[in-house]
Amino acid sequence: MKKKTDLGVAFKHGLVYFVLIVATIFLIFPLFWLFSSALKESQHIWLIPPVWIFRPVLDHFALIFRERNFVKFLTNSLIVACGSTAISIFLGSLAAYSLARLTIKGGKHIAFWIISLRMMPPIVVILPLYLFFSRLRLIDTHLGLILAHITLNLPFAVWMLMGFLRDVPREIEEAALTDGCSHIGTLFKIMLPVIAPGLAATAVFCVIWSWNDFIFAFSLTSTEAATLPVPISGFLGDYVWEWSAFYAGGSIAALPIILLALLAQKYLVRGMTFGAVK
Amino acid sequence: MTIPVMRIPSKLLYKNTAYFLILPAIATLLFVIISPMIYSIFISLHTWYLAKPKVRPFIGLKNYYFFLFEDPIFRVALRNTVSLLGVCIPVEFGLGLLLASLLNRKNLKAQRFFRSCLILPLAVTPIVVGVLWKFILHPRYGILNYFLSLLGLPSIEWIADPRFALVSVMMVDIWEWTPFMVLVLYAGLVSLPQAPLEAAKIDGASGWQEFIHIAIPLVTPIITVAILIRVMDIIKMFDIIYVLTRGGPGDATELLSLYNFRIGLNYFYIGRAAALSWLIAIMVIVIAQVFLKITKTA
Repeated sequence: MKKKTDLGVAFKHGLVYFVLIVATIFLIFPLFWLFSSALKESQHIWLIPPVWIFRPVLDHFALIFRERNFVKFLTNSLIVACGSTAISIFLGSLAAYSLARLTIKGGKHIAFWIISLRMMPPIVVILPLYLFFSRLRLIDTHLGLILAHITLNLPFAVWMLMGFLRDVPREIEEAALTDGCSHIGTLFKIMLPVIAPGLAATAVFCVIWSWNDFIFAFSLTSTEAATLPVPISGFLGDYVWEWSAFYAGGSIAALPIILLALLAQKYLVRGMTFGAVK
Repeated sequence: MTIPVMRIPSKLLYKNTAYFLILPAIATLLFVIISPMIYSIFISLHTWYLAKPKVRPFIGLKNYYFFLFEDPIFRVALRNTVSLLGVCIPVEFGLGLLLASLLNRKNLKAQRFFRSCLILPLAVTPIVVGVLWKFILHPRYGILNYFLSLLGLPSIEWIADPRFALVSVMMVDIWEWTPFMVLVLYAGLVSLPQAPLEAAKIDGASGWQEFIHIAIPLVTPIITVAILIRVMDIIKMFDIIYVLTRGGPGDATELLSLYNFRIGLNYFYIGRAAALSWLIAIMVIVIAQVFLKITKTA
């Protein structure tokens, strides 16, 4: 009888690993396919059955950097992501402190109103922004796209930082205030350093939203200020699909974000659920 | 005290610090979100065609009326969006719960490794996901049909076949977003209070009973939050569908947001597009309100 249950336990154990491994393969394989195809020689890219073992080459990366302007697009992605993140984090931490710790009339309503804005479908603001930006000559400029990404990042930053600031024990803040520090001084000298990891995680998320955005970039930029997703979508032309250029370009767009997400893994749930799950 | 801003009478500043701190953010939001939103309502009440900028008569709610009662494509797009919701969310939730509960087993080895792998797809740039899957699903040179042929199955014209196009979209969405469910549900299961679970064990509950009757009810708020976020995302879904099928073949995968984009920024019927964007926004706002109610209590 005992032997039977042992076997049952072993079987159950095996099943757990089997399911997890199958799921892992299913979820990881497309990414493996992306990165490995980017390193294949041109004549191997299309081959079916595929070549699994090959000598990696960097030709496609060299091609997109030299001939497809990827230095510019990569720089644009960095400028827009850093710009919109810096502005959102700065304005966001001031507003979050005010909402989380100071008395403000209707503070709760303001906070909910701000996070509701983050959930609006982007197309609602894209159409009027397109008209405004045409007037103001902001179409296809870094500043225009940074402003557009602030619509994603500022509400998010306010909401997340509010959560982090609320978690700080009141005593820490009160000690500083009784020592004669102003509210603004307390925020910059005490509160923000205390929530530094949360601040960093919020910034990482802002960079991810901005870097991954397609609909704003596609609608409001064309060549000069386009971020990576725009030329990447362009590899899928109406007549020609540029497989090798896509595999290389897609890897360049995907890899930094994968690394950032792994780095911020501890805060991933909190960021992805807008602070609802900690 | 050399910074000019600091010269504001300190009493005034001290009393109103809260308002001074929030003002820049509110002003920015007014400029980049609120004023466009108000302008968009204004646009939606007109016949507004960008190619004819001089003629834009006020027509009241006719643009809204058009979509709700006259437009057949709107209905197709709505039906497709509802099918996506009906299939993707239960599947992602089911798989997510299964994987999260397996990850949560106490004696699991390499738990960190599995966790990192299982959540990876959700970080990948959506447009890259879309194009990548378009290649994977290619009928002749795609790797998926090759795997099917190894299993002795016939190859499928995934995206070109109207019967499979929407299924392809669902498959990609499930690939990208099941990890989100795993991540959130796992966080929920890990943070469960141990006391009720142990009490149940002492009362002789089996692992399965414990899971259904104790664990699930305790994580219900988290489950609801996760599902609501996914519902909003699917209603807004654009990137993947834009590169994967562009609504085709025919209108087999037409979705609300895609249709909206095309009317506005391909055909330039801005008035109509603004109206449709508000119809989509109303759906999302209703769901967002429920989400916030739960967040408030959770």
